[in-house]
Amino acid sequence: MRNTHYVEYLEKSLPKSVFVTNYDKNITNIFVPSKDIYKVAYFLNKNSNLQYKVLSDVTAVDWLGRHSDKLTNNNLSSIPLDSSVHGLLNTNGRFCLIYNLLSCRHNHRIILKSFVDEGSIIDSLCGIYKSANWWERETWDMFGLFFKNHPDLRRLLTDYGFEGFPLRKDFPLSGYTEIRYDETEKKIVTDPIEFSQEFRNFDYTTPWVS
Amino acid sequence: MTLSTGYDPEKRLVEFGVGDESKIKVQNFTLNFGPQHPAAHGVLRLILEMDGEVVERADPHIGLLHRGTEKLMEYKTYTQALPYLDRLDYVSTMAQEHAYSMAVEKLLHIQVPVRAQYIRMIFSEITRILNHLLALTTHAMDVGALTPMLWGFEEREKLMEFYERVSGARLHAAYIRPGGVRLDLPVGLSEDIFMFTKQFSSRIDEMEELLTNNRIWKQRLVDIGIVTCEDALSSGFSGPMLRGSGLAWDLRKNQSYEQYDSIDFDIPVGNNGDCYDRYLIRIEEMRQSIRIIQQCLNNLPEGPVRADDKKTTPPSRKMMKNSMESLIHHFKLYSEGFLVPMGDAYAAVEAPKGEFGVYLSSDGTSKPYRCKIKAPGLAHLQGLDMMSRGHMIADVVTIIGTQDIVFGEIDR
Repeated sequence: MRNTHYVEYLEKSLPKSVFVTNYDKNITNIFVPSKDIYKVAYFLNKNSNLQYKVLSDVTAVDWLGRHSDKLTNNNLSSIPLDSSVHGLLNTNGRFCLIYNLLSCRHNHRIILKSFVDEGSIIDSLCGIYKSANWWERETWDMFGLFFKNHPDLRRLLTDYGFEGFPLRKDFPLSGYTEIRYDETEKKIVTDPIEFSQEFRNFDYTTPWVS
Repeated sequence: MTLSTGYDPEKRLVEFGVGDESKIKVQNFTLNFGPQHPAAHGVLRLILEMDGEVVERADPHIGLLHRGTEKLMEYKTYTQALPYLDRLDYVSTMAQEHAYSMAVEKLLHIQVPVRAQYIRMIFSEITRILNHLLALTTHAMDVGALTPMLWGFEEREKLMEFYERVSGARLHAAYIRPGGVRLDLPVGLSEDIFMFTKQFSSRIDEMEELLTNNRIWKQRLVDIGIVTCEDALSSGFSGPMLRGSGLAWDLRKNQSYEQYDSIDFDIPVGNNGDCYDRYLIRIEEMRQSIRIIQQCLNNLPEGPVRADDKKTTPPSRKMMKNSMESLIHHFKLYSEGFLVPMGDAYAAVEAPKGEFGVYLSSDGTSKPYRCKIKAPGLAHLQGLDMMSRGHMIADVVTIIGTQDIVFGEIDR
């Protein structure tokens, strides 16, 4: 398994669904069109040559307005992709969705990535991995990405009645509201947040280094 | 619905003349467990659907300790973000710094000096003992044995003193940093750690005498919360929770990092996948940790403890007094921070609770663009529903204890 045959095997088994960007003996990064995530994950889980039985993590990165950084970061700018592949992978998508799969049998990880937008409907992996349940709930909570066929897509970490998706880049660090206990009303009230001084984000980057 | 006691609630209602037989439905009793409950190990709110005293469904509500660590880290430099990792799982702090430092080093492509790797291993294992002492003794306390906690915490105190001597802090050490460790071991510390390891195995024996063959302890733990290997994998379990189910999966062996491949140690594995197996595994892991620490101390090489890279690791005080260049480096590293090249990396360590991973995505500046923390406890708590179904409510406390839940890392 530990050679280039492995990459070929993946790409040939699922043509137009798997694009390997980089590969080494411990970890492989693959890109998958968002509509094929379930199919690819099912294959990676059930195929006896692969057996990626553990879903360690699901997360996303918000690349709001940083298209070229997004491609460089994910090693896509170095690989010549024709426009049809760009369309297939939806490289203009705002979010990069990341699944971290582990095969204990072959001691190998796959980072499965896919570009999605705010409105994209992503197939839930709950049918394959039990752990997908909370990972996807967290991704929904933090980024507002919707998972189809999820049994129980509630918010996970934020407060009851919270609005907004905190890990998006257009969500301010301070948030919009603060809560306090009101002595006269004898209950917890939510107020819009107020600062006597604005949040200061120091930019130390050297101006003469690009 | 007929209960085994012969009591039929539907029939009873009909006898009282409430509604007719066809319409009556019996609803399960919903119990709110926590968020302030001594056995919940922090702020766990658990909605339990009960059928009598048997748990039908457990729905953990988490997030009461959510501090937005990942978001905060995006606004800090890589150095400033490091102490946030301490505040996740606050009983195994150094293991988390370790994972983060490894992720940054992966992106920077820097090599850690061998001495620093050994020091990291020593303190990772001290951390493991610290964590397991807390996990096992508080578990025992939840189940009803108070003495192990009183004894175990005395040992923890000694270990936290080692933390203090090496970093100045007893808990939030910020000692393992990208490029190595903060400072070399102070004079005499390695001798004292060695003295500790020599006496500690008899402390474990004392604890085992209280628990391992204890009738009450076994009644509460054996055959409780059984997890099959397939379930454990599918639920994303790691660490003792996975090894308890019979799979010898330990990142220190399987995806060896630092110098673990040159160290001789064993991985304990369970047979039944119940709480008692996981207890035995944690005990054995402490013994193995002592083995690792002793080997590390015996083979501790001389040399620097920080990578020789002026652009990422700060210069020593002495150099700053004599060299203008060093002074500038120091100033730049503590104001702007170091620049991390574009790319992403996932690094995971075998933390005491399981696989603790950090996924870092860098946009080439001195601040992480995205830092995802993969906490082992979140997967375990998710499995609580699966593990506690069909058990009595008192067993839920045992299962929470065996999962070694700490809310700092789960809520982040």
